Amino acid sequence: MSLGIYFDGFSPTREMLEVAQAAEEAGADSLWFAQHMGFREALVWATAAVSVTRTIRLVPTAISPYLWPPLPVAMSMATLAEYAGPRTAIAVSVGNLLNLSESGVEAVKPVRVMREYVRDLRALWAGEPVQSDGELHQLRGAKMMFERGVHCPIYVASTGPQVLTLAGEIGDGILLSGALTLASCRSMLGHVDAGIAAAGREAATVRKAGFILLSIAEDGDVARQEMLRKLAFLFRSRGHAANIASADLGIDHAAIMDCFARHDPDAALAFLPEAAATTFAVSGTPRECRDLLAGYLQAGMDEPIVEVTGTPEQRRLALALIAEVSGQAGG
Amino acid sequence: MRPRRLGIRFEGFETLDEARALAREAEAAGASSVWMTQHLGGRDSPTLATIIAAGTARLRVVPSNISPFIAHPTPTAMMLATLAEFAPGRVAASIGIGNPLDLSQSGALVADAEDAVCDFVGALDALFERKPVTATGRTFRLDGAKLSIVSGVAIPIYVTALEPKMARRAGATTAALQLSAGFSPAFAASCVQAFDGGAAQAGIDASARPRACFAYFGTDERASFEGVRRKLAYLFRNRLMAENIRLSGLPIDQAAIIDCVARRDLDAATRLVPDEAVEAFAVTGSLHTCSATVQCFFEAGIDELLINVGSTAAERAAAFALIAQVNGAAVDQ
Repeated sequence: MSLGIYFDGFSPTREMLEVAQAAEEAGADSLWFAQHMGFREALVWATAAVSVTRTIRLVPTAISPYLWPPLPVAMSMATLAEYAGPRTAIAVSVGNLLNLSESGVEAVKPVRVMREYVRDLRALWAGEPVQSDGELHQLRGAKMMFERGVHCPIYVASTGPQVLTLAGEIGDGILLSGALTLASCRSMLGHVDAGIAAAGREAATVRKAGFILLSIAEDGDVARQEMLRKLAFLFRSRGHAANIASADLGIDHAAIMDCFARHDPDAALAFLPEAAATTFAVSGTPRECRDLLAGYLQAGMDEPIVEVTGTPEQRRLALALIAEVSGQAGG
Repeated sequence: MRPRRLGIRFEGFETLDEARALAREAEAAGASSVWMTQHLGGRDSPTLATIIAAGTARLRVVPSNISPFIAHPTPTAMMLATLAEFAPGRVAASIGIGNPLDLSQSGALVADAEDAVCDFVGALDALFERKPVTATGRTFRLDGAKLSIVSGVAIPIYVTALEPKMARRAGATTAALQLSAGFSPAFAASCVQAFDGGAAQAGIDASARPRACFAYFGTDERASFEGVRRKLAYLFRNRLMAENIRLSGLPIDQAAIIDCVARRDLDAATRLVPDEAVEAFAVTGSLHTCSATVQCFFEAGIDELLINVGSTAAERAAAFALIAQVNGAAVDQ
């Protein structure tokens, strides 16, 4: 089993490059660069990472059709593929609705838009002039002038049932967000399977990837407290309601959202029991993390993707875990 | 006085391996920067800039002619800030209208073009302040978008101008000026004057802002000279070149050239470009002649001239020799 690494774009580029290089040496098989609005740009980071790696797959992640039109994205991925060789993929998603709205964008008709975006990207990479009268993008003969015939696997990322079903129908792979309970993962993968079945596809042809929050330390309490802070931030979103309910931990989601609305993240921590740190994520000592990670692997993910963050010692422990899971420990 | 430098520009037809090799050679020759235009359907210029930055140590990388009609300010600011963190102090960008035909193929209609470019520059300025931005431009709306990448390094933004009208509008923004290829030094001077005039009218001191210009380059070999003539013929199909042609005083029948290109007869259009035009609108000839033409652009107010380095080994060697001579002389000054 190989693990992927994801970068949230919050750390400096120098740290990303160090972790990318170390992750490849530890046996990780993919690097996923999340496109968080206002932070490091995923396509630039994926390209920069080529300079410190040799074989690891590179995946700009959660590229939104609402802010990245198909032709420039097709151009960027084809340029990256020409540079890096056949080790590139892309993950597309609707994007964070709040962040999109801050850039003046309303995510209308997301299922149709996602379907058309995937279709347009594939058509552009095929190299012929593309005619497409889409809901969001209209192509009137746009075409690629180089690297025609690029095969770039497209993962469709979502947590919503309709787009997950679409992902199973049309994606080369699907990608689940982080901070999900095992029950949520299984439920979401069920929607994916429904899409796969509806399209008459072979289940094994659709890769199932998922981000898994990871906080690791020799002192398990330290790791769990850090994880609670991350979870509180993520749970400011209304979109986590069903996921939180699936944990059955009595979490007052509304109270957490109220705290963030008041810009008081510390207060939100009071509404998260310590059990949340190991119910929605992998956190604790190295041994505890290894055991928790096994649960996600058994939930049906082909490509578990973890983060490598924190202090240098925490990053070292995370990389050691990756090496162990990837069979590279001691190698 | 701002330093006067030669840099290079990619024409968009280089393979990736060629571009990387050219950039390394250009850096070794002392070039100041490499500019790469965003041709829709070609290699993506921000991605290419990242690749070139990774393979060089000093060369400034400049994704250019980023169009507000297909790019959005928030992703553009993220891209530039990330690239600048990867290559600190080596990143700039230019914003331009873009090619209307290419844009139309992606469903983008060009309207209020100068306003759209200026709005976009203003949005980038605001985002680079790292505070939530609320603004409405011709092609975008920002409602609290914020750039969170902290960097102490400024990213110079240029406006691409094909004629004095855009240059004048650029003068009233915070942007530097970048002129297109195929200009005579006299026309470049008129655009620089328009830029300064626009700034003065807005009550802005633009004297410290850079002024760059693209230029076609050729050697004194016949094939190279003819190659430049052909590029000029294609360029002169654009009606915005009328004033550029008129200022040269040369008897060029632009209407006939436009007709030829419309009939897809570029050979006939090329025959309508006289030898004198190749000498007036490009940097061509011997090393001595090219160096003198470069000085004409500098005297016109241009402080960074970006030449294409040609498609043959002889052209490239000549281009790098010119860069070494001009930039070496600039260092000596």
